[in-house]
Amino acid sequence: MSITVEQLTHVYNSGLAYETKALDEVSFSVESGEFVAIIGHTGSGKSTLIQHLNGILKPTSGTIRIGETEITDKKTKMVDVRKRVGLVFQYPEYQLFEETVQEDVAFGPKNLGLEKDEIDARVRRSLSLVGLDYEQFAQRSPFELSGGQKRRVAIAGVIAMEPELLILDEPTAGLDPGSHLEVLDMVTSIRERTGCTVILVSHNMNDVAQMADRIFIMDSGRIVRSGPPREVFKERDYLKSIGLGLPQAAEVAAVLEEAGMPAAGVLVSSQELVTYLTAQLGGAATQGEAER
Amino acid sequence: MIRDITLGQYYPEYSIIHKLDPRLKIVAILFYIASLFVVKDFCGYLLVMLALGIFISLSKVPLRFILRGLKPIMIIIMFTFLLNMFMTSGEILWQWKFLKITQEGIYNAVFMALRLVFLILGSSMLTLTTKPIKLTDGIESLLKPFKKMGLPTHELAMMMTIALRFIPTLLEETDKIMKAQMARGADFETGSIFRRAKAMVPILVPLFVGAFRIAQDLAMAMEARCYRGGEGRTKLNALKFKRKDAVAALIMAVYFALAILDRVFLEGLDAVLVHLVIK
Repeated sequence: MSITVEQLTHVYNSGLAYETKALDEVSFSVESGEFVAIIGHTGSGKSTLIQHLNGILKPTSGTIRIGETEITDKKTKMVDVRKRVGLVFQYPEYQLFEETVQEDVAFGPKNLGLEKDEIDARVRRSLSLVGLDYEQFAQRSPFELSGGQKRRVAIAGVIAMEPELLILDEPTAGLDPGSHLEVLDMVTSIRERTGCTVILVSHNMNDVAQMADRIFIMDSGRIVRSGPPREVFKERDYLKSIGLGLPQAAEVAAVLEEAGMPAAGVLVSSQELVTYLTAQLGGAATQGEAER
Repeated sequence: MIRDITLGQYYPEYSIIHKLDPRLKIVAILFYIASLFVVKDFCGYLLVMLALGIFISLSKVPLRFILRGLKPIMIIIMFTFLLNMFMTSGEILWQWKFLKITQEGIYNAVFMALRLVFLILGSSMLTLTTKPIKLTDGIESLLKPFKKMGLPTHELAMMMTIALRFIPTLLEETDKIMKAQMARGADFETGSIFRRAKAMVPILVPLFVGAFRIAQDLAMAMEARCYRGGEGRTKLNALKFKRKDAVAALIMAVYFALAILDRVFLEGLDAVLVHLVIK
């Protein structure tokens, strides 16, 4: 499902001494099925932006179109919007409240007014999508699970609404490296299996460089750069100036280039870095041997 | 949405009022509240209004911000107003079946509603101009005489500090949880009261769980810094009664004296005035 945002502005505490412009005439569009990542330092407006996309925050001015529906229109029913746009907040495990995992995941579909059989099927499907075994987890209390498992249950609660657009706000915050990778793999597989459009908000350059089709960079309420990872990560100095960095592989390559090694271009994964270094070192070794 | 509540909020500003000793401010507000019940006529209210006006303008807190604090209690004010207007017996001005408005009723209604407004405005000024920490410091210091009677003043003050400290945290937490449940299609705005109460469960459960989690973290952090109660504890910023506090106390004394004089000498003036206006 495509998204078009035009001239979106949001002002917090309008008219007060501490009025702040969280979003400043943001415009962009996302194609159906695309994987977009939004990065920016804390307070750049990422969270405010995504909360507009399913109508939880109302813009001060500007329009948002999701598919054919203009959700900023007052006549649009919010339930219809939330059915199509799934939003996973930061630390979503803090929203769990039911006695069993099964009931908690069913909360969303129930609010959509679905039949019991359909709800049940969706719970099974979404639990399997987040990699939790239904038989093993469905009847357990969500409060007795581990941190990583809680988060999966919470994400399943959103996926169970079967949104066409899935937005995740730092889904890996506070997880250990193992769970971190698992959650990212989970996002990839959900996208492959459901074909939904994904917007991922992240602090981690390595993740977004490898996963996203396009990256939006936000700074003080504006989208300042957008494009494929290899393009936006070309501007190392600019990114540093707004408090961001490069993916590790690209950073290593950039430092090596400064030290006199041949340019590697923008590397987005450690695999690419290994290939580059092998080529360079192999070359150097041959050269050394030739001199001897 | 939920952050509009100004009662108990602090408004950061550099003003003479903000810098006054919190103990003095607490006592002054108590006297102010007492003065509202001492004066019994509109002449007295002019005095109150003048004092409150000076107080607010000195504090530099924008009037719009203070007035926002009235919004949540508007219903109570309206209720008081209507009740007084219709329920006071006296000279009847207007009647429709069992409903009647009397001259005395209008007078009482305006008088009571104004008293409530003054009460809220004055007392919200205390929290608006005093940091919660200073406020509890002041309360602790004022309660000191009761310590000999076995009142755990430090512990009480600490509990109050923590409770105040948690208000914004819990509001923020509530806001987050509400948004998260709304994203899952929860609806808090429509339906019968029963349905709406039931819709609160998905907010309250995570909120309680969160509150316990935060409390546990805080207890641990306090213990890690060797907190073990008030015995022998000193303050980083000990309260000092300065000259400006003495001046403020003097002004307050004059104000209260005027209020008493108003009660003693001008009582009944209003009745004469009202009589003149109507006749």
